[in-house]
Order: sequence, then C-alpha cells, then structure tokens
Amino acid sequence: MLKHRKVFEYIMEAGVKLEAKSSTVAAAVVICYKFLNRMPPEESSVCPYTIGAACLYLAGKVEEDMLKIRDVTNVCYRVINPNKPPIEVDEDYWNLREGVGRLEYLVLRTMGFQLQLVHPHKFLLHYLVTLKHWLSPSAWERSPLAETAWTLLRDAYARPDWVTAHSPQTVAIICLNLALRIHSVDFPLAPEWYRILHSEMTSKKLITLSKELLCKLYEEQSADPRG
Amino acid sequence: METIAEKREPTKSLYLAAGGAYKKDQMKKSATFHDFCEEDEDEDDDAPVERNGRAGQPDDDDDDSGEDACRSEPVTNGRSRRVNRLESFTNWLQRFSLKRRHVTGQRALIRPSVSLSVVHEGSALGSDGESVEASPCTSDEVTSPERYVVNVKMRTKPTRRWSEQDIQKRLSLPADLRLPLSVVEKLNRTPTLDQPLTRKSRRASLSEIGFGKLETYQKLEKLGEGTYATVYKGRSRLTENYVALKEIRLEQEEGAPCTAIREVSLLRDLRHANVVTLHDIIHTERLLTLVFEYVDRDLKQYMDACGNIMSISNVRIFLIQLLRGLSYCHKRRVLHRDLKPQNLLINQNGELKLADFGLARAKSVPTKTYSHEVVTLWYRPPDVLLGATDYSTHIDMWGVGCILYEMVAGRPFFPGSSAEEQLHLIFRALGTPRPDVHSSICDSKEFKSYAFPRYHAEPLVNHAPRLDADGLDLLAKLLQYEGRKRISAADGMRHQFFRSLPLSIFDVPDNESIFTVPGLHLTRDPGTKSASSMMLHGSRPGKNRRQSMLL
Repeated sequence: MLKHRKVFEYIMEAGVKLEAKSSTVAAAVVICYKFLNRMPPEESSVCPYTIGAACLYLAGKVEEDMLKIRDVTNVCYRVINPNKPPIEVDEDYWNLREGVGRLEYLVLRTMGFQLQLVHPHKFLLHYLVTLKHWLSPSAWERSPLAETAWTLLRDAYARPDWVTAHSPQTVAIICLNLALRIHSVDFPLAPEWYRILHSEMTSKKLITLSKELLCKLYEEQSADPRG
Repeated sequence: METIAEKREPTKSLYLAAGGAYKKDQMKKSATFHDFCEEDEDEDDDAPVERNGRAGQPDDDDDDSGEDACRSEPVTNGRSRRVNRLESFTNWLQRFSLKRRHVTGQRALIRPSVSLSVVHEGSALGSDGESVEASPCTSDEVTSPERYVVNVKMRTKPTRRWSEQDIQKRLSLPADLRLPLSVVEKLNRTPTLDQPLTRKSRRASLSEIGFGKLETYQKLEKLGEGTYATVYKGRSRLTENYVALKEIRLEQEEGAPCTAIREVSLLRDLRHANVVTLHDIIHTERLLTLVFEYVDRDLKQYMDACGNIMSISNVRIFLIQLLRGLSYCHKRRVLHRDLKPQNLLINQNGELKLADFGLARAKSVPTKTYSHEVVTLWYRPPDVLLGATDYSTHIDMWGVGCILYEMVAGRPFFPGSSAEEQLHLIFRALGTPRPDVHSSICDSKEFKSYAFPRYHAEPLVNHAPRLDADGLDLLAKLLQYEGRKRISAADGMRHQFFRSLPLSIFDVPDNESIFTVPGLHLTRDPGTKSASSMMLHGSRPGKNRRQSMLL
C-alpha cells in the first residue's frame, strides 16, 4: 500500500467536488506526492490532509483553474467530515483557511517553484481523436472508449508514484490500452497501433505496464484478506 | 464521465462518523486539518475502495475461472504468442473488472477520524534565508549524488584548498560572482566541498555565500508600485551589479498571487540571452522577493529617447532578438501573451530581453488586472479580441507585427481603447475580414454581432513607407487575421528581411547575446540628439520608469 494513498484519493474526491479540471487534480496529486517525499523531517508533523488541500489550491493557480480558497477549505472539510454540519464561519474557520494559505507557501518554497508539469491528458485526448478516425462510426459509438480511458487516467492518480515514473505519453497509451481491452476493441489493420501513436512503446512494455497499473490501482485494495 | 470519486458519492453515508473532536481550545493562529488520520494502519487496510469507476464494461461474461492463471502468466516477449496473450489478457481484464464489481461492495474509501488542530507556525512556516537559487543553479539531476560520482573524478586530498574560482566551478556559479573572503575561508574550514554535492549541501553552501538572503541585496530607489508587487532598484553585494527587486506581498486573501507563481515557475526554466534572467528568489515570512537582472529601460523608453525615429538597421537587430527569444519560449510551449514595447527590456549593449511573464500561457487573456487597471489591447490579435480561446503560439506573433510597425513608424498601429475600437482600427487599416478568406474570424458570433463596415485594405506600404519590400512582406505575414496563417517565430528569423545580418547569428548559443557575432552592432538612431541625452533619458527616475513589471 502506497503511503499517503488516502491523501491522494481525498484530493481527487475534493477536486471532483470542486469541479476542478482533470489536469488540476492531476497537478495537485503530483505536487502533493513530490512534496511529501521531499518534506523536511522537522515538518513531518504537519497533517497531510491539510497539505493536500493546499496542493489542490496551489494546483488551481498553476493550471489557471482558479479555485477559491474558501471553496477549497469548505469542500475539503466536507470530504473529511461528511457527517458533520458544514463548517461555521467563525474564528476557527478563518484560522483553518489561513493555514491552507500558509501551507501553500511552504509547498511553493519546498518545491522551489518547480510546478510546471506535462500531463498525460492532452496526449490521451490526441490519441483518442486519432483512434476515432481509425474506427467506423458505429464501432466508435458502440463502446464508451473515451470515457473509460479518461476515467482510468483520472483514477491512475491514486498512484502518483506510478504516473510520475513514466512519461506522459506512456501513461496515456496504457490507459488507452486498458480501455480497448475492457471493451474488446481491436485494430486488425494496425495491431501495433501503440507503436504508431508512440514510437517508444513495445508490446512487452504495453502488457507489463497495463497489468502493473491495474494491480497497483485496483488489485492492491482487495489484496487485504479482510477486504 | 465517471471517476472513483463520483462513484464513491453514494456510499458517503457509510463513512464512519468523524472520530476526533473539533478541538476548539487548541485553535490558535493558523489551523489545519491536522492529525486527521490518527487511526492505525490496520484499520486503513480495512477499508477497500469502491473502485467501480469503469463505464460500460461487458456484462455478459460471468466466468471467473482461470483468472488467476491468466494473471500469473509471466509476460514474455514471444511474438508468436502475442495475440494469444492479448486475448487472454483481455479475458482476464474483463473478468477482473467484473469481479471487482462484485467484490467492492459498499465500502467507503477514506474512513477518516478527523480532528482539527493547530499547526505550529514556527516549525512549519517560519521564515528563513533558504533560497530557490534560481539563477546560478544547475539542474537537480546534476547535483544528485549518484550522477555526480559518475561524472566527476573525486578529489580525495583532504588538504586541498579551494580557491574562489574552484568554489564557483564546484557550485556552478556565474563567473562574475565575487565571493566574500569570509565565505571562502568558511567553506574551506568545513568539509562540504570535498564531499559529493547533494541538493541540500549545495543549497547550504549557496546560502552561506548569500543566495536567498535579503541582506545580500542592497535596496536602492523604488522603481514602481502595483497591486501586489513593488519594484526596487537594488545592488547585489555579491556581484556589485544592479538588480531589480520585485517584492510580492503575500498577506492577501488568496495567498501567493497566481501570476507570481506562474511567472516564477515559468521563468526558472527559461535560460536565454533574450529572456530576462531571474537570479534569485528570497522567501521571508510575508514577502516573496524576486531578484531579476536590472535593465535600464524598455523599448518604449528607447523609442521615446530617439524621438520615435529608429534606424531600420536597429529595428532589424531588435526584431531578430525578439523573434529569437520568442522562438525559444515557444519551443518550450511557453506563450508570452502580453507582448508590448513596455515588456521588452533593452540594456546598454542593445540586447533585448523579454520580460513580464506574469500573464504567460493562461487560458484567457484578461482585459483587466486584479486592480482593474486596463491591460492594453493595442497588441492583441483580432481572433483573441473576438473571444477565441483556442489560440497557441501564434497569439504572440500578431504583437510582434504591431511592435515592428511601431518601431518603424514611431507610433502604435492600433491604439484602441476598447475591444470594439481596437477591431475597428485593425479592420480600417487592413480591411474587414471576408468570409471567403478569413472563415474562422467571420464565423465567430462576436464578429457578426459587431457588424463592421466593409473596409478595403490599404497597402501596407502606405502605412509604413520606411519599410522595404522584405520588411513589408514580413509585416504582412505577422499581421494575418487567421492565427494559423501567421508566420512562426522560428520561420520569422529566417525571413528575407534579415538577410543583411550575418548568418552566424543562428549559431549563437541560447545563453549568448547575438552581439557576440563580429560586425553586429547598433547604429545611431537618426532621432537621437546625442549619446549623452540618450543615457540621461534612460536613467531618469520616477514616473517614466517602466511600470509593467508590476503586473
């Protein structure tokens, strides 16, 4: 089990509830993952969930998907406390909000402003457009390829260690491959479609990484005997 | 589109009641969602995820058998068996996804036991002299220990004495940097330099030298003030060079300003002779100070100083530098988006530097800053004025055309004060777009709503009579209505207009000025009265200082 996986999933949930762009959520998770790895030990007592909120807020700025600090604070609180009434606007609320703002600054500093990321999303989009032209309209309509691939990509961020270990192109291809396999879509005319889209991809790599992603993403959870 | 998170929503009620208490008495200064997850690890694993994010997988396959066999099958590279394997992989996948749906059940993903408490300000957020060392840095990979050992032969002599030059080399510092004697002494006493250099030790050494410390920079006069930043002229005690200190206040509602974050994160990756250099970043508790190279004046001031009559040869030299800097940025997928003469800095040697990346690469080009100062529309392309958002690097090329015109004609081409007036001026000079030629412009709803009169294009030579045929051709290629038809920065550099420049300017490395090419130099502008009056104008303090660093 990846350390802090729950934090990443919480960022993803809060991001979706904030109606943030997929790239914002992706940036938030990756920034948070890198920050937690790099965090000075003397500051390890800082709550990772507040860091997560700060990363989400910061990612909104980096990706120009302006999220309001008010909304981030409220939604994150709600995600964490689903059974409590919404947070009251009192002194504690303002302190909490300021805490998010100050942690944002800590993240900025620790990361040395290295926040520009190349996300797999636009590659996936590009690949999907290409595939659409290869398929007959009816074949394209038959299965929600794009939705599945996009969902897989969004889910993949529960494992930022895996995502950041591979190039954005590779990540996009793997998500696309899984979607194709799930819907049993084949390209008889272009069995090596992945090589056409991304020249560095091999069939071995494709299969290995596809399995790896699925296992890391979905299998690991049920590996627990009590699960 | 479905995601884990969305799918999880229905199970929200199953979240355990939040465990920790809302510790009111602990709330002091800045609070966080601290200590949220005090639950032990066993409990963590107890809460599997509702992982049913996949849409529409086939339902007809209920066969679970053989799943394990498929999964444990080793992956080999046997090409003959590949198809087979893919099939079995598909089966496995479908079964897998099906099984997951059965298994997942109604479990919550995060089962938090939540409490709020205080983050101790001192530990987490104290101010210090720690620096991001923007300017003198090498990339992290180079300083990582493993790489270092591979690349560099270690000197083991413990008695080695590090001279100033050695230290500069060791820490990859610029050569013009003067190290204080005390620092050389101190670094020699400590074993830091003899050991492999890590990110941390390099940072410590840099901090020792004075990077990232406010004391290192002597604040001189104020150059200007904006909504979130104040710009001072300063002097670095390390190099004795002037610097521009851009102080960004952080106590505002929404934390560090978006534009500042973007400007720093973009600029720290850009190293080019025609892009302004970010030397250092200084963090203090409530203030972020960006240390830029100091440049006397911008192109606007330069043009004013020469009475708005520039020699065409100088226009050519400035323009090629502008294109050179832009093509570097565009290659890295960075758009400037706010080109104007005020954002092009010109130093004593005539080197042009792109500045003010605050607006760089945003999704929409705002017409107002946070302070509701109006951002100039004069250099905006018509497609953007009409609300296009799908623009790319060509957005900057229109502005280059406007700047070329302004340098040649001595006045802005389209000085509009509203989007409508701006478009009006453009169409009156270049002709109203025609559906058969400029389909994307004419199809836009905004364009139709304005109902512009049908102007006919006047030849560009009437507007800019000083420009030769090559120059007019380049201007026409820059001022294309359709973004896709505009010439790119890289192609622009190869345009006939620059044929009189030595070819070797294309071989100049990114971080070197084109003035390193022999024979290339500025000529006297016809409008300049005397060299001394030029200088005088350039260094005049007060209102004529460039204000655009403040954006």
